[in-house]
Amino acid sequence: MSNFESFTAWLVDFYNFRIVLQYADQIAAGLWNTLFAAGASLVFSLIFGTLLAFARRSGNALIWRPADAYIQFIRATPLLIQIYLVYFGLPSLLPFTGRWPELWLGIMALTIHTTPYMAEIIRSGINAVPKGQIEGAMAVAMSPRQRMQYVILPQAFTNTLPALLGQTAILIKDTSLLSAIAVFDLLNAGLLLNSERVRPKEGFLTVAAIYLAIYAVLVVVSRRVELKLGGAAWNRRPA
Amino acid sequence: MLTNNAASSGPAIVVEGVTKTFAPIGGGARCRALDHVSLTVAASEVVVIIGPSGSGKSTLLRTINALEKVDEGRIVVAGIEATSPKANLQTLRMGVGMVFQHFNLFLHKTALENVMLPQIIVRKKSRAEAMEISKAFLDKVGVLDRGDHYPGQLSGGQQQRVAIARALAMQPQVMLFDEATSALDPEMVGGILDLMAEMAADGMTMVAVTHEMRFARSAADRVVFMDGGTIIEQGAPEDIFDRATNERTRKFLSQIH
Amino acid sequence: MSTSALQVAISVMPALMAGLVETLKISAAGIVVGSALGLLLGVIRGQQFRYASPAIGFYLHVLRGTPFLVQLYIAYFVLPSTGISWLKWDSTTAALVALSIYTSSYVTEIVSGGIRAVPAGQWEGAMACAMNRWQSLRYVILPQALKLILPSLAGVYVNLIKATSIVSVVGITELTRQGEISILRFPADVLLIYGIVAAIYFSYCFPALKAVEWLERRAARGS
Repeated sequence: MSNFESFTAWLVDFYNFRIVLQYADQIAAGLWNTLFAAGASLVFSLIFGTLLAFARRSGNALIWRPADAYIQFIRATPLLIQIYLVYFGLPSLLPFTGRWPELWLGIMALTIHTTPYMAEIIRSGINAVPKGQIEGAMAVAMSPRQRMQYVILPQAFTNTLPALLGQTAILIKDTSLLSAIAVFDLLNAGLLLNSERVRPKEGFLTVAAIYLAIYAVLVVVSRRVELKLGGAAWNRRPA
Repeated sequence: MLTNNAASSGPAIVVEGVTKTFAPIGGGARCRALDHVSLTVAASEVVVIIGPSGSGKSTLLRTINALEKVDEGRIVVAGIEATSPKANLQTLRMGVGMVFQHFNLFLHKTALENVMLPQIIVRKKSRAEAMEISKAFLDKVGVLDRGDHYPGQLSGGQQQRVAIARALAMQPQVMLFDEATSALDPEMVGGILDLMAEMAADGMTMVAVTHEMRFARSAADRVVFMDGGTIIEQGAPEDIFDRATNERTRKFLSQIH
Repeated sequence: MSTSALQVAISVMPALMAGLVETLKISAAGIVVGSALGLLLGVIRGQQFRYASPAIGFYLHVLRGTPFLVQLYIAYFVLPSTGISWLKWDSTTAALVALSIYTSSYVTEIVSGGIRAVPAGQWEGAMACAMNRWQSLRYVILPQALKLILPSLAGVYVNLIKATSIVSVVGITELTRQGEISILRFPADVLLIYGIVAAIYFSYCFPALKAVEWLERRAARGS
């Protein structure tokens, strides 16, 4: 055998990309489910997170105490247990949910898990908006709701965009736990390859590389965002 | 006596053709912080360096104890070639004491411990010996009663005195002062300058970067004016302050006075 | 109905407690090894070494960009398959390796961040007093960095405890797995049993999180 042939033979033995190509469809399906689950959870958790942030900031103890209890519970228990509680527990409380696709239950669980983290980020973003902004809005007779909608929230989101992107990266990784409740996500595609062909490197290293690619995209986006925010004149304090 | 300088033959500091270039991080033109600078300091000589900010005077000072590396040139301090790749920097720095604008006292140690620490670690003294030596030097700079205070509990002037004691306790041949009074409130500046003048009178070889012109006039043997990374003019204090020959020197001095 | 719930709870508790003990054991091992590795890497990354610091940065990105479960499967399936003999370990060792590396990635960041937060003047003061790099680190920089590092380390510990629940998928009988096994005995009480498991994790992690907040407040006050 020539050197090149023996090298390719070794390469195929180490990482048989042909097998990977055979499973390309399943990997694509898994990737789609991963991205869909992450995207849906992201949208829901941002919406609910904003509401939860308001609840947490409320002066009314009947509102902020339960909100805080929910946040502390999620922070102090593992995600996997939270997923099991939703996946197994919900159908036992509401039997009709037992017929729901696992993906929906997974998205529910991820949303319930991610909402408090988003809420804390948004809350700190709201607190970080300079008091002068609020005073300026009050001086032009904007109502509290208008102040929140047009002045505070937009700045809170831009303040915390890097943290929100970081939480999104975590969310992508969290979707891998949905493989434990039979959601056919990216990781399950790798598990399938491994269980059918007993090729762990092709199964798991491929999957790891795809997760890394998604993460790399998020890192690049995050750096661009930080540069834009750093340069934007609107956020500069008067000298 | 604050110092213990045996007369040594040959100059204390030799700086020959030293060049240092900085490359700005974001790109852009490289800047010559030092451009073929040469300077010789004799034993027990007191040299004061003046000049506008960005002139390279602090950078030059910091190359003498190798806190900054040079790109070209040669520096010899008390017989040790600082620029040689085989130079033992610890040995070099044992012979050169440095006092910083922002004191750089170890924040997690008391004043006494600040002076003791190098004695124990570097000069390998026992704890008891180190304490004795440190107390003596703290006494000489006048802050012995503050020995168990942390830097955060001391005024700027007191911190600088501790810093001077820490440097002097190393028994250096050369003392470097990098704008030692620039960060102090006006009423404390005089006390530090008096200490520096006392060291000079005792025969310590000193190089000081400062804006205090009266000190330069009274304590310096030689004044060096730097601008744009080079030495523009140097000479005895009267020669510089009263009869500077170079246009840039005169322009700088007129802005200061 | 409530008495039967109580009976179920009492019946599964011994197994769950055994699982908790296992959780504590593997998380203790994980934090020891992970902290040692993280301290070493963090000290290197916290300084300006030309090749080592970015290399460690790249390694950290790889760890942070992949899910822990994937890292666990790699430790469990891929590494033993490479043919290198000392990598052919059992599931418990695989789990420990994965947990240690996971912990070390957090610890590295925290330690390097703490070292960088110490003012540069402290390095200069130490070097001007003729201390070399390791003396400066040991006597001047690290003692000051530690005050910043310790509160964050407690937070890492909580993350580690939560990550131990994931090693249940490779069969380690820690708390989560014991919960799954107990459910096989009482399939009608899934919600109750997982609820108890959640409560056990909570009773352990919540005080730890409060301790983290208290430590961080104390560290902020001291500055």
